[in-house]
Amino acid sequence: MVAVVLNAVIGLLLAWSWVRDPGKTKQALRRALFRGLGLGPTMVLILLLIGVLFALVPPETMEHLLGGETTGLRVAAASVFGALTFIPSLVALPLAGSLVDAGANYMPVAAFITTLTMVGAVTLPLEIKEVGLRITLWRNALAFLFAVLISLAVGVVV
Amino acid sequence: MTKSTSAVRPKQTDITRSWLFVGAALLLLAGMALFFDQAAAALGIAGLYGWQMLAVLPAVLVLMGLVDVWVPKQSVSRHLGRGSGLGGIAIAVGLGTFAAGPLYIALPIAGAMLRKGASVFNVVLFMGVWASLKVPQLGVEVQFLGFRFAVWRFIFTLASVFLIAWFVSVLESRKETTEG
Repeated sequence: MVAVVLNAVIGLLLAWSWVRDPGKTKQALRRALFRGLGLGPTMVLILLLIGVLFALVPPETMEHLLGGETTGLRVAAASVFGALTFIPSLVALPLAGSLVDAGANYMPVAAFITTLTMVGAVTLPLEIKEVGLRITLWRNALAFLFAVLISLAVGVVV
Repeated sequence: MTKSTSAVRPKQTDITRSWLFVGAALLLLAGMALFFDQAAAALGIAGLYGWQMLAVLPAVLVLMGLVDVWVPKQSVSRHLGRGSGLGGIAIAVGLGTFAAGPLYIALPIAGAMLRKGASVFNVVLFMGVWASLKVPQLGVEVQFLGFRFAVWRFIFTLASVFLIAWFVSVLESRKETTEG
């Protein structure tokens, strides 16, 4: 259902773009292809990882590890993990979805995705170079704090 | 563009090119060879998620490509100079949410904005929006985590990005008054 609507809407946009400017549209399609090719290996690896995780770890163990009470420790661990890892968020989303399928609560999953995108441990040196040490440190520290708040709010609402 | 900052861009654009990727791939292959029975089940589950991904990913990639060619990224620094008010904020949010690409592409733009005299609030807002609010990727998030999750997380994140920008700008202005 989601896929049908999404493909229809983007198909219309593509048609509109083609009518407006075929050259630009071709360039857009080329970019889409190359971004897809760049993402491909990582995506396949993550999908295999999901498969192995589900096949080797018994559902009860998975449920025990991820489900049940959402503790502060779980949210904190998920936040730190998200802040330190450097994987494209497009690839992280199916992984997050599989964890929810396995019985994980929404709260730590939201914490993981949010810190993954908001806090950039790997890009810190470049950020310091571009906008200075103070702004970088404040921004990332606040982003981490707010990511935890966002995950709490998402956990309550969803 | 006073100085070229693209040279310091991290080389590894994703984990594909790092030893981590190779290590993980080898580990997976070894594991599959060792547990041959479970390997079939693992591949089946991987395929299931793969199909779900294939249903939305090409469309999302096309949307990101369209945004790339129709929304000029560099124009953001032109519109966000000193004294840009609500219009500047709208442009920062609009461009940041629709533009595709990881944060390190936005960082040189943010640096250029600061040097041109854009306010700390606008620059931090732009970085936050670019990093964490990706409209094209919402499709994938809805597919795997559901509509409610994706929409509520988007709304809370948008509010947070504004608050973070405000806090950072307040902290920075205090530094200027005490030191200056």
